[in-house]
Amino acid sequence: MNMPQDHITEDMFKPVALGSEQNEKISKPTIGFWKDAWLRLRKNKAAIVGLVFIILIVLMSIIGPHLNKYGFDDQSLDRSNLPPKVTGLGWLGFGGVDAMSGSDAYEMKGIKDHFWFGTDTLGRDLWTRVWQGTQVSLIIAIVATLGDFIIGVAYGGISAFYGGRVDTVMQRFMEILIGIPNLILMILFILWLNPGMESIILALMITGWTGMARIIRGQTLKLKGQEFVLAARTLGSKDSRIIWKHLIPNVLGQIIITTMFTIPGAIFFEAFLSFIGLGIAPPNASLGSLNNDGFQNIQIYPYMAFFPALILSILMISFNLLADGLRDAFDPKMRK
Amino acid sequence: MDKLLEIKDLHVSFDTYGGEVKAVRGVNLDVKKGETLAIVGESGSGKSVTSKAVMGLIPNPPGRIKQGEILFNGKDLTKLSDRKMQGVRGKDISMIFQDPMTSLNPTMTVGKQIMEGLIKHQKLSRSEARERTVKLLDLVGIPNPDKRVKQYPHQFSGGMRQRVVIAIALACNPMLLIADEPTTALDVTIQAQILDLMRDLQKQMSTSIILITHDLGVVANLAHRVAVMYGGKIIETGTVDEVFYKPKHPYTWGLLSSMPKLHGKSEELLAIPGSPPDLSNPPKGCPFAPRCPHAMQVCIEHMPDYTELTDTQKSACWLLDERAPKVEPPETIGVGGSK
Amino acid sequence: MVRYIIGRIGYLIVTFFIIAALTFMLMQLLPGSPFNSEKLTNEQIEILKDQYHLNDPIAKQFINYIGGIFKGDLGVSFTYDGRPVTKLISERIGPSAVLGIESTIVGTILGLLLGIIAALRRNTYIDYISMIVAVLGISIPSFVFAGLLQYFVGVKWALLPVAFWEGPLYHVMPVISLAVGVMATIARFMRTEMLEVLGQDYMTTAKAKGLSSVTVVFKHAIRNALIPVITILGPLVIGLVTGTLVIEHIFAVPGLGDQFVDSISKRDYPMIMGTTLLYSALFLIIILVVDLLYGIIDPRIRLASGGKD
Repeated sequence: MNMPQDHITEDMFKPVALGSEQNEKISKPTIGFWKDAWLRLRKNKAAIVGLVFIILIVLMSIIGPHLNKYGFDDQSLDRSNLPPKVTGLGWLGFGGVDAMSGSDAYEMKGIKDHFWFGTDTLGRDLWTRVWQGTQVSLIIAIVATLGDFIIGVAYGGISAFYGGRVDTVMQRFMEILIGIPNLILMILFILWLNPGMESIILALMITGWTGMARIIRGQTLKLKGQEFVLAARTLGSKDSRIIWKHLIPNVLGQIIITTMFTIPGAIFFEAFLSFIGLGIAPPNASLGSLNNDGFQNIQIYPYMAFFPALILSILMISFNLLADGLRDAFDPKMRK
Repeated sequence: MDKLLEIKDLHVSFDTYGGEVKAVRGVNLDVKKGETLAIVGESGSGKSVTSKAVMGLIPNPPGRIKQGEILFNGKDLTKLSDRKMQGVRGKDISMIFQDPMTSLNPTMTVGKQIMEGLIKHQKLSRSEARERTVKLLDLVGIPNPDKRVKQYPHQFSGGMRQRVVIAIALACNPMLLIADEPTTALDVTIQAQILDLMRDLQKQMSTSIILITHDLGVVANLAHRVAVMYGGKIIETGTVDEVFYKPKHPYTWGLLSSMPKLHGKSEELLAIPGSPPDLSNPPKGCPFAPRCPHAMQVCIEHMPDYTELTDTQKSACWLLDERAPKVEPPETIGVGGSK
Repeated sequence: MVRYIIGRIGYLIVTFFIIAALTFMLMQLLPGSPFNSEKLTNEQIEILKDQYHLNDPIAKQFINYIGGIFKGDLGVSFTYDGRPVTKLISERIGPSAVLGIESTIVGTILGLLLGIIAALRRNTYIDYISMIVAVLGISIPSFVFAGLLQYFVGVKWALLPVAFWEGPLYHVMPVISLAVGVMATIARFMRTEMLEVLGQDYMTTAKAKGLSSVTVVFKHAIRNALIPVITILGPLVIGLVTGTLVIEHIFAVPGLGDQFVDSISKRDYPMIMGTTLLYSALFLIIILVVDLLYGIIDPRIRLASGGKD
C-alpha cells in the first residue's frame, strides 16, 4: 500500500504548520430555506411535470374559451352531437367521424366549421365549455382553499397561541365539527343554499378549514415551547409581532403543503357534487358537470366524456404530484 | 490457535450520491479467546462499521465489503452465504447496541424477543425457551423475571432495557460479543451497573468481547487490549497499559488529553482541534495529519507503516521513524486513577 | 380505559344529536311537503298533516323526530308513495354493504401488498411502478375511472356486464372502481410506514439475532408497520361511502348510494335526512371503533391508558 521507502527523503521530516482552519472551512455556500426547498423540488421530476401541466391548464382555462367564436352557452340543434374534428389530426381520432355510422358527421349535417372537441347534445362547442368549466372548477377550488387557509390559520393560531380555556373551547367545537362527516355537511349545506358556485365554495369551506387549523395549532404549540420564541418574549415583543415574525415563517412550509393538498381535494369534491347533481347549474359548466353530461352519453358519444375526464384527471394527478414534491422539498422527514 | 477472530485488510465502502465513502480502509485486528478488545475513536472513525462488518450487517446497498477477510475460528465470514451467516449471527457472534430505547421491538413482549434466537439456534421448544429466558433475565439482574417476560419494552427503564438487550445477545452463549457503545445512552450510575454486569458475565461465560466506545473510562474498566481508530484506519494498538501509559501516536495523546480527570491540574478540557477527514475523499497520507500538532511534509503525502514497539503494541506514525524529530508526549495525557 | 370509552361514546351521542338537530332544522327551512299532490284537497292535506303530527308546535315535532330516530322511524318518503324511509333504506342497504365490504377487502389486500413490496424494493422500478399506480389511484376520481371501465370493458369489449346487480360478474367492475382508491391510499401509507420501521434500530437487533430475512420482515417489520394503518380506516370508509354514491349510480346498483343520489335530485327531503343520519352514524361508529382498536392493538397505548399493570 505504502510508497517504497526510498521515495521518502530526509527533508520531508520537517514539521509543517498546518492550521486546522482549512479543515473547518465550509466548502459550500449556505443555502436559504426557500432556495433549498426549490433546489430539492427541482430535482423531483414528477413534481415539475405536475407544475408544468398545472400552468398549462390554468393558462388554457383563461385563454381557451376565447380561442374560437363560440360562447359556452351558444346552442344550435343543427350542429348537435358533432365529434371532434381538427384539420390534419384525423389519424388521432379528430376526424369528425361518428362512432355509430362511421361516416363524417360534419358532412352529413353540412357543417363547414370544425369543432376541436366536438359539440354536445345541444350543439354547444365543447372546446369552449371544457376550458370554461376548467376555469370554474379552478376558481371554486382556489377560492375555497384560500378561505380554508384564512379561517384555518386564524383559528388554529389563536387557539394554540392563547391556549388555556380559549384553546379548550375552540378545540371542543372543532372536534364536533370534525365528527360530522364533511360530505354530509356539504350536501345539507348545498341543499339549503341551492346549488351554485357560491354555495359550493361555502360548502367546501365549512369543513375544509379544520385540517389547516389542526396543523397550525400543532405546529404553533410545538414552536411555542421553543427557545427562540421564549427569547423574543423575554425581549418584550408583542404577541402579534411574535405571531407574524416568528411563528408564521416557521409554519409556512406546513401551510404550503397543506394548501397544495387542499386544492385537488376541492377540485374533486366540486366534481363530485356536480356529478350527483348538486353542482353548477346549467348552462354554466364545471369539470364535474361536464363529466356528468359526458357519462350520460358515453355509449353513443364517448368523446363528450373523454375531454372533461382527461383534463380533470390530469389536473388531479398534477396537483397531487406537485403537493408530494413540495412536501418532500419542505420537509423530507415528514413523508406521510 | 487462540485467535477467535482475525480481520485482515478490511475495506468497507458506502456508495452515496456524493460518491464512494471509504468508511474502513484496511483494518487488521485480532481477538483472542476470552479477551476484551476495545476499539476507540471518535464518531465516523469506522469503528462501528468494522463491527457491523463482522456481524454481516452492513446494509447492501449502499454498503459493501470491498476487500479483506474476516476469519472467525478460521472460516471467512465475508464468503458465507446469507443463510450460513444467519446461523452465525446471534449464535456464535452477537451484538449489544447503543440505544436500548430504540433497539427493542416496541410491540413484542421482551420474553418473545429473547426467545426468538433460542428457538432458531438451539432448537428449543417454546416452553424450554421460556424457561431459559426467565433464567437469562435473572442472570442479567432483572428482578421478578417470570413476571417481566410478559411485559413490553416500554415498561422497562433504560438500564433495564439494556439488560434485556444483553440477555438477547447472551441467549445462545456466543463466543464473541460485540458491544457497540453499550453505555453511551445511559445515565452515569446505570453505566457503571451495566459495565459491572458485562465484566461479571464475561468471567462466568468466558466470552470474547469487542467493545466499541469513545469513552476511555469504559475502556480502562473492561478491556485488555485497545485499538485506536481514526479515519477508517487503526493508528495504534496495544494493551490497555501500553496505550494508556506509553502511547506513541499523537491522536492517542489527544484522546487521552481530552479525557476528563478527577485530579487533573487544569480545570478545562482539552479538545483536539479540527474535525475528522472527509472519507469520500480520504487523504493520501496520514488521516490525522491535518489536525496533528507535529505534522510533517511526509505525513501529508504518505501513510506510515506500523512500527512494532513491543509484541503487543504497534503504532502508525512517522514520528517513530528515526529521521523524525524527537517529540515528547504532552503532560496532559496523564491517566486518571482508574487503572 | 372504561372511563375513556364511556367518554368517547358520550361524545359520539352528542355529535349525532347535533347532526340530527341540523337535519331537522333543515327540514323546517326547506320548502315542500309530502302532500303537495294536486289531487288532494286542502281538507285532505290537513287531515294528513294531523295524522303525521305536522301541525304540532316545532319543539314537539323535534322531540317526536328525535324519539322517532331511536325507534327507527325516520318519517315517510315524498316520492315513493309515502312509504316509510326506514323501509326503503333497509331494502337498499344490502347491495351497498356487500359492495363496500368487497371493495375494502380487495383494496386493502392489494394496497398492503403493493406498499410492502414497494418498501422492500425501495428505489427499484417495482417501487416506482407501485407508486405511479398509487398516485393515479389517488388522483383519478372514482367516477372517471368507473366511466372509462364501463365504456371499455363493458360496452366496447363486452367482457363484463355493463350494469345492474344480478350475480358475481356484476360485482367486478363496481368493486374494482371503488377498490382502486382504497388500494392506492393504503399502498402509499403502508410504504411510508414500512420504510420508517425498516430504518428502526430494532430491525438491526432482529437481524443480529440471526433471524431469517423472512422472519425479520414478517414478524418485526410488517407487524409494526400495520398498526398505524388502522388509523386511515376511518377516512377510507368515508371515501368509500362517497364513492358508492356515484359508483352505484353509474353501474345501476340498487343500493343506498344510488337511492341517495336519486333522492337528492328529486329533493325527497325525508329520504335525504334519513340516509344522512344513517351515514353519519356509520362514520361516527367507525371512527370510534378505529380509535379503540388502535388502543387494543398497540401495546404502548393499551398499557399507557390502563395504568401500570
